Amino acid sequence: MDRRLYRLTKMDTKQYSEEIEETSSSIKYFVYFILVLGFINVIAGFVNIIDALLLYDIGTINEIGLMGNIATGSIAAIVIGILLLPIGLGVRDLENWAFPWVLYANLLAILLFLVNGGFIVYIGLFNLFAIILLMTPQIRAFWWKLYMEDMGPRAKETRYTLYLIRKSPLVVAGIIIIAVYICLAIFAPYITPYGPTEREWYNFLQAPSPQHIWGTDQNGGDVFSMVIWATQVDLKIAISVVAVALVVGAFIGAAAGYFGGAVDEIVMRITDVFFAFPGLILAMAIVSALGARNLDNISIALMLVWWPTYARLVRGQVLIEREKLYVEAARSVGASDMRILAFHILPNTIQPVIVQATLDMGGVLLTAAGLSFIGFGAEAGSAEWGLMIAQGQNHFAQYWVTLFPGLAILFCALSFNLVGDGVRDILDPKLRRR
Amino acid sequence: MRLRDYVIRRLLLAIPVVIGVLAITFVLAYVMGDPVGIYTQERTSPEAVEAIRRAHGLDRPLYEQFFFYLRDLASGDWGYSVSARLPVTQVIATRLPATIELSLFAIVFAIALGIPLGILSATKKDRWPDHVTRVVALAGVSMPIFWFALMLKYVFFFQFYMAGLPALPEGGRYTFTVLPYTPITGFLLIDSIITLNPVLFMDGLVHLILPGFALGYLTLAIITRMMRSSMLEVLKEDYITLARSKGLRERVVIYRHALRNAMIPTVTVIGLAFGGLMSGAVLTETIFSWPGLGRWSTRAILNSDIPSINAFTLLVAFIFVGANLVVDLVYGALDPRIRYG
Repeated sequence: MDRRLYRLTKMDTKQYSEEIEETSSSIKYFVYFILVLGFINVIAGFVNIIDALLLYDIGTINEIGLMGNIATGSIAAIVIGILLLPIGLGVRDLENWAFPWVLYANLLAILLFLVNGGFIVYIGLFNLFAIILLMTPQIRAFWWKLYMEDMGPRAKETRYTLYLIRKSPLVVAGIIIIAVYICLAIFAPYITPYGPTEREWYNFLQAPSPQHIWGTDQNGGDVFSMVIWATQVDLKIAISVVAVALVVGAFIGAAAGYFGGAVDEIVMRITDVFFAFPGLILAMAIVSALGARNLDNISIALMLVWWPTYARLVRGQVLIEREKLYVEAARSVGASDMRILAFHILPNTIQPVIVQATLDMGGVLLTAAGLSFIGFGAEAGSAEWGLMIAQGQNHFAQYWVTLFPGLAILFCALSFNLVGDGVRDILDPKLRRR
Repeated sequence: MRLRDYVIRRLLLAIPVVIGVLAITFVLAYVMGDPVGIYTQERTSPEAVEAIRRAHGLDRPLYEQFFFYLRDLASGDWGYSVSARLPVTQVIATRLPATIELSLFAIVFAIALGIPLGILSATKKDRWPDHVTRVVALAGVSMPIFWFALMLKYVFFFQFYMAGLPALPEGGRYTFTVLPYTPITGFLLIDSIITLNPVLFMDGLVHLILPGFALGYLTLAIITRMMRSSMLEVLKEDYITLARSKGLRERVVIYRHALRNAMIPTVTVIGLAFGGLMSGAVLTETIFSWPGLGRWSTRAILNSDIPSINAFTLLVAFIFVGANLVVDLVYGALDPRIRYG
């Protein structure tokens, strides 16, 4: 703590720039480049907002698309950009904590650009580039020493966790399956022989054959192609629901746990009420209240159903963490409540939250497919797993219409459960070192 | 003495939840649409609409309407279900037993199979029974229940039928074309015992197998996983080592010493699994044409039948809250530490 205090008080910008001068010139250019990337990110975030607004004006996307685009792509890009700037400037004290946050934000951004498509793709690429740069040996040498001084024990623990994950066959299998699904979602246009709405009406309910390896459905759609196209739709729902529920729930839960008292009591009673409904049934009621039956409304309903899980989880974690010494230390040097919460407590509560999010990906996937099966989801005939099963249920003799979409859901949910389950066991301190 | 305090505290904690549940269903119903629409046509004059509004108290402020809502619920007036063409309370009275019968069958099946599997998995940790059980449990958690139900139907009804084997029925509670059945309690199995009708009883049981299995599999998986982990936890305790060092047989150690303590977390999970059963019932009943609440609710939603959706959501929440209350009370009775904690 004292070292950081010293830096905060004694060092000034002049000294920082002198330190940059001392480093070799090639590294300096790398560092300047990161500065530029930070600027580009911030600008790209704003351009994305304008882009989304324009698309909204033309009518290409609806309000939900607009909100989604602004909330996910732009904010992620701006946050990453702002975090990259101090690294580019070589502000040492900031780079220590900025680096893990850039990593988190980038993971999120990469997931989001899969979900969102459009302009955010370029932002994701910028960020990937920034990460690669940060990992180059010269740059790493620049921040690594300081980073390791602060984060050494945690880095060691993380490496041990990664080692345990590599050693666990089920987790590795799960990760591989998830990767395959994400690749299917990205490369669907290149893998699939037919488009998502392409029909050969004269070839309906054909058994699997070389032309249609998983057969065709009642409208003559190619089941193989539709199952792969549906990966985009279903993963998008699962990822967006879990991401939004996690962020909202974590925020509310952290506030409740940290401030305690009346806030805590009210938030917990509200979550109690949400937990009084079985998930699918509350989601059903919310979708019918929202009016239109489409996938966006399914996502909104599931977000409303899922946030209390994270609120509770994070609250519990924050209650444990806020009593610890490092929080006391941070408070004693005059850190504000927001700062303690955001940069000290929350990073230490992230592990169980990530595990829960992984497990929930499977749950959301199943619930969304169930809602879609009942008839809430996409319009008839579109490529979505739950809907495909619903439409195939009357064609008993043609098992392939229902079998393959179901297997797709099963393996997708299974892979998330495998990873979540395995990682939870790995992180469990009781089981960790035997 | 302390148990009584615990029960009272737990009951008091349920009150804000119930109020919250009522408030949420009220708000959802309010958002769902203007109820005046049911009584009016396009050519209804604005004055008539106003009159209807006034007659039903819809022009009052929202909080007053909420009190009307509570009053009506308390007096048993839950509205009229357009999709079933019956008052909601009547629909519930006729359909609830079917759902309860199915859920109970599923939960009994899940407990009867899940607990032994969990014990087996824990005692044979990291050997093949453990691996098989874990795969079964993980598959149960990852399986889309509606797809599983359809696949069961495909194999045990369609394929068996095509192969000329004795096939299981594809849906419904009993073979209504052949067997006469007049509900007394509404529970088909109980009714058939009362009326001493073994044919109907067997028929009802056969109809329960597929939907019960489809519905119970998820619960089975949850119970198995919980049982395994809590059993592993308990087996590390000192009193188990003591029991073993006394020279007790392994069976006695596991069934008399470990099982009771390992059951405690499992009981809680059963309460939570009830929510999954209710959700699952919606999907399973739709597939097996089971004349229960779930099937009614899906039909109500597709027909935008607001009172029915509302009543169903409310009822399920009450059942779920009640189930968890009971579980908590049982938990308090099982584990003295909870009461003094």
